[in-house]
Amino acid sequence: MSSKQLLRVYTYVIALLLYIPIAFMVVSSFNSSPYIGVWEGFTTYWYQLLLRDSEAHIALVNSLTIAIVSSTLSVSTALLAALQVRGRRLTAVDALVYPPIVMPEVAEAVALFLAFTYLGVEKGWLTVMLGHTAFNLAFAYVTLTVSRVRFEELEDAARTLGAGRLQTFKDIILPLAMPGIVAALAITFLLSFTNFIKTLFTTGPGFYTLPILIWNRARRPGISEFASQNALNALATLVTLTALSIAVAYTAYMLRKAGR
Amino acid sequence: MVQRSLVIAVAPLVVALLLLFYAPNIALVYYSFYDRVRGVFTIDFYLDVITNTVYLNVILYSLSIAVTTVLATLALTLPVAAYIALYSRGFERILLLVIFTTPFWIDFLLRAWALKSLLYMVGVREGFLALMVGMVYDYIPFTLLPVYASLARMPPHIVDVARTLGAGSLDIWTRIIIPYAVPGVLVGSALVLLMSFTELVIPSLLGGVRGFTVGPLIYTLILAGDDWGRGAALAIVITVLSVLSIVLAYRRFKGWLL
Amino acid sequence: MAGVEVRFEDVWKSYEAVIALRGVTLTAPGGRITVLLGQSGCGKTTLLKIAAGLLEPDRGRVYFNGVDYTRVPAERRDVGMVFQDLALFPHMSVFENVAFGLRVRGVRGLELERRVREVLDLVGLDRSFYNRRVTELSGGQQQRVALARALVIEPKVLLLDEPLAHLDYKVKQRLLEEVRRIQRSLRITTIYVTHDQLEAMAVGDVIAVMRDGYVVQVGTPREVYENPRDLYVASFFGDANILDSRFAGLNSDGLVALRFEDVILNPNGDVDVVYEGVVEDIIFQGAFVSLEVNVINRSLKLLVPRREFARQGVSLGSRVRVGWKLSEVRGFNSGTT
Repeated sequence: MSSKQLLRVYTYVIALLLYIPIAFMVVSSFNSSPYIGVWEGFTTYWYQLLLRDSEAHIALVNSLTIAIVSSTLSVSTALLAALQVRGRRLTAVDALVYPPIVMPEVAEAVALFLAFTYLGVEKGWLTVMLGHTAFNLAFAYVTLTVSRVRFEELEDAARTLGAGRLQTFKDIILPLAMPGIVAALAITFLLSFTNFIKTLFTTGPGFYTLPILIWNRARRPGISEFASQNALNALATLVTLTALSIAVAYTAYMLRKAGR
Repeated sequence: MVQRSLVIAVAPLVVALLLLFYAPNIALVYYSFYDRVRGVFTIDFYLDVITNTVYLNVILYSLSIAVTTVLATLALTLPVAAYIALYSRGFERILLLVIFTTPFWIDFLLRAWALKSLLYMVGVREGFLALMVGMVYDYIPFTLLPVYASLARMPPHIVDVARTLGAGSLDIWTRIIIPYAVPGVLVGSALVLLMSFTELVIPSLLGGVRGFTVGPLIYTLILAGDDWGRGAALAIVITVLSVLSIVLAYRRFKGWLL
Repeated sequence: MAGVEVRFEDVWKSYEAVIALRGVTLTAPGGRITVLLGQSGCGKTTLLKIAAGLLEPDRGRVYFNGVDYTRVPAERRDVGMVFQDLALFPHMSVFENVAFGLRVRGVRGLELERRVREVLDLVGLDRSFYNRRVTELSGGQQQRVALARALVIEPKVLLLDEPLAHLDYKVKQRLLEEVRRIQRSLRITTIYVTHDQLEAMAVGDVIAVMRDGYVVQVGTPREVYENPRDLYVASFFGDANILDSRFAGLNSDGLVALRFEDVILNPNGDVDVVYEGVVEDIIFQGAFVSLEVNVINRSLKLLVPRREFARQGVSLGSRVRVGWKLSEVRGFNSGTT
């Protein structure tokens, strides 16, 4: 076997390994046995259980609303800046934007916890959402500036052709910025939807998101049927599939943009 | 005129970052120096964190796990990155990139949970092995992509050129592929070192008693123990260590270029 | 509407620390091509953008046919501009790129189609291109689209910023001819920025040589070539030997310029100065052959027609005579560098 074929086989083996745990989780969520690794036949029982799981419903609503609000807020704020910042002035804003990305998440979460505690804000939906937004702002800005087309000359061209500011924005800038905006929205939505650490430190008693619920149950499996292994597998499968479908839609969108 | 519109456009971002990131960090610094019990400012928390062997051991243990994670992911992913960058073409390359980037979209918590059940089934219980498997499993994409990105920048046909000049496989790997991979290796290593050093989820879920690393330690101090001073000081110390590791990697990387 | 005259009056412009224009006064005559020629950083693009209304001068005025346009914004100037990197809209087809300026002006339907088609015909792009994405076109084709997009709005003035900079020699030659042809047929006032003297000679009715934010000389290509104002213009616009004045045969100090083709190989009479030297280099350039002759440790370049070169039978190392008429030596006032 040539070194190329060897590398190829190796690559696919690693790729497979990457997905085996997820596949196992999905399969387990349809196992009628409550015991891991003992297959007793196919069932959708665990998913039916989820329908009655009011905690999961609350967590889903919290996760979704926080992710939607945080991603929209951070992308629109970052877009406003990203479209205007150019040339030399970039460095000043960049210097502010990178630390949130570089700082260890645990440390940032502790900082948010202490700040909210100091201010005496009641921890819950708002504090979690604001905590996510701090990080999302930075990610949205970086995503938008990385994929930025050189707009200045295009803007100048549109102006010499007689287009005013508003029309230039609508016809030239927005269509060209769209892939970046979609990317930023997808990334920040998922970062927020699946965020665990910052949520853990900024949430208060009685408020939880899906990752927090999964964490609580994963640490104490079996305290109720809702927290049994396979019920949890079913919940985790749904969250994973949500994330994956967004990822697939996003990738397809990007490939289509690139392919045109 | 242009200047003013720029200020107006950038202001919301800057203000939001100041309020949501920089102000909380001031609180972090404040509490790392403020003793709530005695009501005085002190540097005792820092002294404690860097001299108390309990904390020091946790830091060193976390660091050793992080370094092992970096080395293991590098060893596993370098050949994959080389295959994708050097040999895959067209559809296969896109497919492989999608395969290896998709895990990015699934949270650590979920991937760790998925792995936990699987390891449980094959008889690996919570402990050091499970912890390391979890770390490597979760961080593979983070080293793979930067290394791939550097290798993809290799001029086309450079391997063929080397071959016509008489280079064997070993020469090609040691003299061409690995040097080209260096920037990506450094970026990926810094990223993984930084993230795995302060990891909270994987040690907690998979590590069992061997999972008491800095992440869980901070969690315990702040949320379970109400020991804000030490927790804040520790958070600052690990931040400084992480940023230093990045700066050093960057320096080294520049050194290699010159 | 043949020919809006564009006049710059004492135009100054600086960017933070750099002064790009230092009091430029220049008239671009109506219906003609005025070339702004100079090296990068000389201020030529800045001047063009001021004409377009994309930049406002710090001081000075810009007049279109005597009307003060200094504060008129770009979108209300009716200028057509071709940008250095073309700035085609990458998300639009060829047709849509060209149609953009018309749509903005509210032109719709058949009228829109007719005008786009006419201008695309003019630049030589047929129907098969209309729906192509501009990113799929070759450099020369993109160039044509950019030109069409600028022309379709029937601008008062056409502004071209290094439009042919990235093209191959042959494509460039062809497009230069077309720019001339189109400009003549439309009689549109054109300002053409370039750093390439050959391009400048090929398209310019008027040439303005710029340097360090000043216009140093204005004239027809022939005037500037034959009577360069200083050594800089002499060596930048066309090629010249820079010699010390006494060596060149003048009875004064300083430096002078002598065009390569004004040095005559093995002259028989009819020259004022003659030296002997050794041929050190011969470069065959097609119609001409360029020779380098060492005369008293000076390297002198001359350009000889191919037939003349063949007739003389000169080869590397030959001893030759070189000479020139004093009337061809360009001396300058002191202070020129």
